[in-house]
Amino acid sequence: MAGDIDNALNILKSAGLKLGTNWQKLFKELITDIAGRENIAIAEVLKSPFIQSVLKDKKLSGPQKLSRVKALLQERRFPLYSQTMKSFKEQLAELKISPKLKVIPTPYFEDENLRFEFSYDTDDELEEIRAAIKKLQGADLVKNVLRDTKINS
Amino acid sequence: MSFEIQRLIVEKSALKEPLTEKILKRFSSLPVEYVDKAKSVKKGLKSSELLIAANKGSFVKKCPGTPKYGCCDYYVLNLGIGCFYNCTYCYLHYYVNSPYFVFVNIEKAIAEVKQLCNRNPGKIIRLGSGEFIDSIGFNEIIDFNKVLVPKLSKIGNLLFEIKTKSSDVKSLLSLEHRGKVVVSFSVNSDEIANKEEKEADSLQKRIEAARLCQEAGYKIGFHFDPLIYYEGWQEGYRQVVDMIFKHIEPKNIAWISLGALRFNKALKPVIQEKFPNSKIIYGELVPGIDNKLRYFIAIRKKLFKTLVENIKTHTKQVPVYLCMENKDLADEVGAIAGFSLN
Repeated sequence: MAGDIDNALNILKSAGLKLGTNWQKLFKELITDIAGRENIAIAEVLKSPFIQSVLKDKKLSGPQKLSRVKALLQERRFPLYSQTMKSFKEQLAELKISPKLKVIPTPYFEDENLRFEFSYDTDDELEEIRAAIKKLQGADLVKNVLRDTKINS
Repeated sequence: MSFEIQRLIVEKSALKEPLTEKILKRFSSLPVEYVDKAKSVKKGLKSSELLIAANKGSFVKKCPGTPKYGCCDYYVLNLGIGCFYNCTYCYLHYYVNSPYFVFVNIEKAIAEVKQLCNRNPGKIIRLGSGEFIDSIGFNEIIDFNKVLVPKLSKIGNLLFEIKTKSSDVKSLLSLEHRGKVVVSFSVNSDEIANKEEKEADSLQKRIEAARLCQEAGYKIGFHFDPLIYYEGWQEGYRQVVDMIFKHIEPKNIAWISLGALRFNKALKPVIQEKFPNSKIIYGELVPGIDNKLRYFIAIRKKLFKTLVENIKTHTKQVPVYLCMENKDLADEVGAIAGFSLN
């Protein structure tokens, strides 16, 4: 198994990805877990057409490939969470709130709290942020996206 | 059951305890080593060795629960460490070599429980012995219940819980329990019991044992813990709920608890190595607020809500509480958080 996972990392390296220790650790865990979840060989994990197309894309830089492959693997490892995060972002976008307000849910939506980050220069900008927060009041964003997550039986 | 004790190590200060004598008699064919202090050998214990010691510290501790989640006002009676069932998800695997040790100065334990209850006269104390051992499975070494049940059941404001995956309840049936002892069974769906709890008794046997305890007048508890999210879980757990209510009357059920799979991150590689065929670590487990790995919250909600609904189709009288979850989640799924009898 150690050999299999090293071979998988070599595929990434030969596509021009520079893997430091932390990246290697992350990819090892993601690839091993996906193989376990999907009952496939480790070597099969990176054969997915989505990953292959990222690795072969000549327009992408090494760091870009790295972050896209990571995103694809995480989506496969945590499909429900990824789906929930996607719909959170979509619902947030639908509210059309000021881009000056950054809305951050609790990691993995463990509770329904939202954290706000913002900065402003003028009173008008502050007002814009206030209006955005008001829009979020009672929107129950986290509750709604979790309710819509489809769980298998 | 993988019970293969090949050597006993006895702390000298434990020699005067009657239970030591009983254990030595029971394992009279095994070699024995005597040591001055249990601490000196504890770290190097092998899984084939049993350490018999006198507990110099506290037997009774408040259940630590888990940081930042709900706690159910429960006390733990620490009689030793070790379990023979070898369930894949058990945190005991985290300890190197899964050692066995047993505290034999049981009268000190009983005195401590009395003190705790005396200090809290207006409160019903819920205390259990099944946190670090299987309360009945441990009978392979020594039958603590024979001493504890008659004595602890005399304490007015105590409810003592025996927690087990064993069906060998014979020794309990004739004990004087005065209605103050709850015999609780950890349960899981057949599929999970067969895959992840291979060495414990089957679900059917556990429920049959619960029925026998009910006949003997005990209150019964059920712990659906750990709930596992797998293909077919809904039907699997519904069958367990149905089976419980087919054999046990709701008025005899003291409580049902629900807890979804959760474990310390450090346990993941241990499970992976020890149980390469187990798939539980590949579930959608993410770090919780306490940093333990637990199912993504949408999954936990669905598991809990479904189980609560199933139980409520049979009865609305039985308290159903969540283990190590917060109040908002418990409220949302119709369960109790921080269950307490007070």
